[in-house]
Amino acid sequence: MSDLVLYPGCVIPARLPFIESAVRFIIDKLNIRMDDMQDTTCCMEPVGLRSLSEDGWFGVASRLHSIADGKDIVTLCDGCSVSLSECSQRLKDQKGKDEAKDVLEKIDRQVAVSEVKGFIEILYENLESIKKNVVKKQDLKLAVFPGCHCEAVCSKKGLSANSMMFEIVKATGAMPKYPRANLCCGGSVSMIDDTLSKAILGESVNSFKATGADGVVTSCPFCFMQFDMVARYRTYHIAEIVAMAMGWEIDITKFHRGQ
Amino acid sequence: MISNTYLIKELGLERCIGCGNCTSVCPSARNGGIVPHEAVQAVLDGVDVKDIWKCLICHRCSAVCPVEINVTQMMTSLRSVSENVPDRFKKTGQQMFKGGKIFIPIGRMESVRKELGLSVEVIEERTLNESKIILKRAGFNE
Repeated sequence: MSDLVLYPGCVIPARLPFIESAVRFIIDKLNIRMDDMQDTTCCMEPVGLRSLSEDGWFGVASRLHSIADGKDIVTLCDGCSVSLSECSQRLKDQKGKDEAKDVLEKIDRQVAVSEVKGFIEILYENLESIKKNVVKKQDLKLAVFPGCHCEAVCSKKGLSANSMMFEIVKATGAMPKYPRANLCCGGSVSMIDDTLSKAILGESVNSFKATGADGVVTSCPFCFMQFDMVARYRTYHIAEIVAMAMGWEIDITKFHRGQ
Repeated sequence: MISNTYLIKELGLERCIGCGNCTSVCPSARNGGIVPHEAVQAVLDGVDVKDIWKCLICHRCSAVCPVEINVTQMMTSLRSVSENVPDRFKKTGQQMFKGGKIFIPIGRMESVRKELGLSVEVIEERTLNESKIILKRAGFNE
């Protein structure tokens, strides 16, 4: 048994399984003890679903905390990180606990609260082990873009997502580059206002190109899809870069669309 | 029911000093979308907030507010009582209610998972029932 449980979310397992493969390779290679969370649903992501119902979000996220039973939840998606960490904050108050108890009683579950860690935090905590396990240095210049939600969750903990990702990228042998601040992938307004979405996406990609980078590295699967599939820009998930440096041999060109 | 009065009190919107820091970092505002400081002012004035669905929920506004107003939470709360929910989110809501997840591996992705040595997850009936009980209680339906 470990003190960490893995919550992969919806989008990576269903649309970007190669990222899950990279994550599991890293967990195995670094010998990190982590169990899979069982009986999970979506976290009621913070952009659309939570907007539909605060009560629905809080109930569903509280159920996931109940399943984790106090073990630290490791998320692969930064939307999940926001959803579950904000639920965690609320569950630490008596009012939140009482509200969760009312919901969870209906499904015979108990209130529990976990800390939530994005996978980038796990990578950063294992930075020295990553360096020791590098067998194939990544000869790439990469614009570092953790994603808005990753930055928000980390900053509430007093961590800098940009700095952590910078160090992780350096550990793989790649050269990190900083694009301008306060960018976004525009995915949240896709299919709502496509003109706006494309303008926000274009602004980011232009900023990545201006750094002279070969591509962008992100920790967010939604950003990944926007940059790779919509903008067709060369994009890596942070887990892929680390896994490739440690000898993961999946041919990602079969799955990526960005050039 | 979330009212403007509730939002003003709960989120401390009266602390707003109109500095515009939120707007200065907002990727939506910069590209012609929602203007966060005007949205806060609209709630304070008791008028409808324009363009709430053009907010990216990126949290950048909340992170830079010098008086610590959670502008993101204001947007989320306003959306939760909006009658103009975009079809995209209505569809994901239905998918969540019916299937417990907003994305489920189908077709090619099932075989890609197998190819990568990953298991193909099936959501158990009990899990789905628990999710439906919670969501029905929150006003979701088929």
